[in-house]
Amino acid sequence: MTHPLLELWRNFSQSKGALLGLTTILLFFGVALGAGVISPHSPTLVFSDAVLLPPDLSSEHWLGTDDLGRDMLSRLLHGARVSLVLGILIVITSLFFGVILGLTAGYLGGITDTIIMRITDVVMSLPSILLAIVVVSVMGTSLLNTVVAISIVAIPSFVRLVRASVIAEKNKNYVICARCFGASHFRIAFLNILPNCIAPITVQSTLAFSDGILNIAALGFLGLGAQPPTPEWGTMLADARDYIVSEPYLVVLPGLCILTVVISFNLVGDVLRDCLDAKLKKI
Amino acid sequence: MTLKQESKNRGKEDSLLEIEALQVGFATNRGHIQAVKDFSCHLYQNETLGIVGESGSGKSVANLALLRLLPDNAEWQATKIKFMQHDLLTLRSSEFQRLRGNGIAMVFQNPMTSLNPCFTVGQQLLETLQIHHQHLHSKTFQREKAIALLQQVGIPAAAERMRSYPHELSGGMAQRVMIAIALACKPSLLIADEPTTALDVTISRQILNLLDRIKRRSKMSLILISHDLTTVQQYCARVVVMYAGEVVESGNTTEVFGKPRHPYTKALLEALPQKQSHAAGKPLPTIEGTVPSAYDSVTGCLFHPRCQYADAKCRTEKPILNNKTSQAVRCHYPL
Repeated sequence: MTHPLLELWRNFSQSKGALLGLTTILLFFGVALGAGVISPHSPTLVFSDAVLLPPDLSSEHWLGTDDLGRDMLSRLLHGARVSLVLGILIVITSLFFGVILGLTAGYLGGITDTIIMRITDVVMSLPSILLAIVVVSVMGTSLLNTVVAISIVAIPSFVRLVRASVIAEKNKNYVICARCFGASHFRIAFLNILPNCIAPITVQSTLAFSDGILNIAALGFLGLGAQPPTPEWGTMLADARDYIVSEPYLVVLPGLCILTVVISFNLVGDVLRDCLDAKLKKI
Repeated sequence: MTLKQESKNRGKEDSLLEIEALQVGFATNRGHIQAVKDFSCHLYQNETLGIVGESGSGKSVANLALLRLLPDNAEWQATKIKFMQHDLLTLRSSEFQRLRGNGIAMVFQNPMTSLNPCFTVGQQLLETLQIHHQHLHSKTFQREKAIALLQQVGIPAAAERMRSYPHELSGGMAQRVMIAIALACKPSLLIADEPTTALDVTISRQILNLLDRIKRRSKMSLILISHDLTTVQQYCARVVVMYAGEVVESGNTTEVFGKPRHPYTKALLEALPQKQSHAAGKPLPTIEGTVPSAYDSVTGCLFHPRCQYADAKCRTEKPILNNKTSQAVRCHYPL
C-alpha cells in the first residue's frame, strides 16, 4: 500500500530534467528567503565611486555594478524575492478564483455555466499583456496592482481547466453514489469532485507561476510593474537598455535569472503532467 | 420456506414503500424517450423485492427516479410515491437529501467506479458516518464503528483495509466496501442495482448471501434489481417483472415463477437452462425478436410482436395492469 504521493515522487524523480528544475526552484526560493542575509550589500545602496563596474570575482562587487553604482549581485538576489513572492501571490489568487468559478460553472451547468464561460471567453480574447496594462493603468502602478492585473489575466485558463475536469468527473459513478448516501451539493463539489481534479490543477499552477513571473517582468520592463528603486528583474532589464552594447552583463544577468526560473517551472510542470497522467492511466 | 411465510399475513399498513404509475422520460436530441411508462410496486417492512427485466426495461431508471437522482434532462411524474410516512412527491429537496442514505441507500452495479479514487476506504466510510451521525460521536468512536462495519461485511484485516485505496481492492472487496458505506447510514431500505453484475460467479453468490444476511439482521428491506431470474427466485419474497418500461407481472415469487400468467414471464422462465426438462442436444427456447427500442412506437400490448398468443385485440388495445388478485398481470389473455 504505497501512498500515491510517494509513487508520484518515485516517477517524478526518474526524470533528470525535473530534478534539475526542482533543485533550481528550491535554490531560488532559498535565495529569496535569505536575500537579506546572503547579499553583500543593500540592493538600493549607491556606490558613487563604482559605477558600471564589470563582473569581477576578485573585486568587492562580484557581478559588477549598474549605472547608478548599485551592487548587481545584491539586486539580483533581492529580485528573486520580489519575483517569487509576486509569483506565489498570483498563483494563489488566480487559483482561488479560477477553481471557484470553474467548479461552479462545471458542476451547476446551464445558465450559470454559460454566463461564467462567456465572461471567461471575453477576458481570454484580449491579449493578456494588453489587458494587464489596461488594468494597471486604470488602477495605478504598484506591486499589488501588478498582482491583481496578472491574476485577472491568469484566471480564465484555470476556469476552463477546472470546468473541463469537473464536467468529466461529475457524471462518474462515485458522484451519484455520494449523492445517494446523502452528501450535499457543496460537499460533493468541493470534497468529492475537486480532489479528483488536483492533477491538472497542479500542472496548470506551475505553468501559471512561470507565466506570472514572465508577466511581472514584462510589466516591469514597460515601467508599469515594480517601480524603481525596487530591485525587480524586468525593471532592471528596462533600466539597462541603454547599456546593452557597452555593458551587456547588465541586460544578460537579470535576463538569465528570468529565463532560469521560467524554464525550471516549465520543466517541473511538464514532468508533473506526464507523471500524473501515467498515474491516471494505471488506475 | 421462510420466504413464503414472510410474504403472508401482510396488511397495507406495514408497507414501507408504495409507488404508483411512475413515468420517467428523457429529452434527447432525437426527441422524447419514455424510459419508464408505468411502474408501480409496493414493499413491506423487512422484505426483499426483486425487480427483473432485460437491459433497458427501465429497472434502474425507475429506482433512480425514486431517489431523485436522475440526470437533468429527465422528466418524471407519478400519482403516488410514499416511503414510510413521507410523501416523496412533495418532499422538499433539502429534506430529500436527508432521506437519501438514512432512509433509502443504494448499491450500484460497478463497485470499482462507485468508490472515489482519491480517498481511502476509511476516509470514505468516515465521511458517510460523519454526514449521518455528525454531532453524536467522537472521532475514535467513529473509527471503531467504521472498522466494525467493514468486519460486518466480511472484509478480513479491516483495520488495515481502512488505509487502502479503491484501486487496490478487488471487485468483490470493493462491493463489500460499498455495502458497508450504505450500511453506515442505517437505511430502512437498501436498493441493490444489479450488485453482482461486474463480479464473477462465486463472489456474486457471497455478496448476495451477505446482503440477505444483513437484511435479516438489521431489519431493513431490500430491493434487488437483477436480470438473473434464479437470483431473484432464491432471495426475493416478491417479484416485479418489467418489460420495455412497464410492469407486466408482479406477485409472490413462488406464484409468479411457479405459475406465470404473462406470456413474457413464461417465455423468460422457459429460456432458463434446466437440468431435467431439456434433453441433451435440444436447443434452449428463446424469445423471438427484440425489445422495442425507445424510439419505436408499438401500439397495443408492447409485447405483442414477440408474443405467440397475440391476436387483433393485443395489437390495437393496450392492456392495463390487473391487480385485483395478489398476482398482478398486464395481459388481455392471462395464462
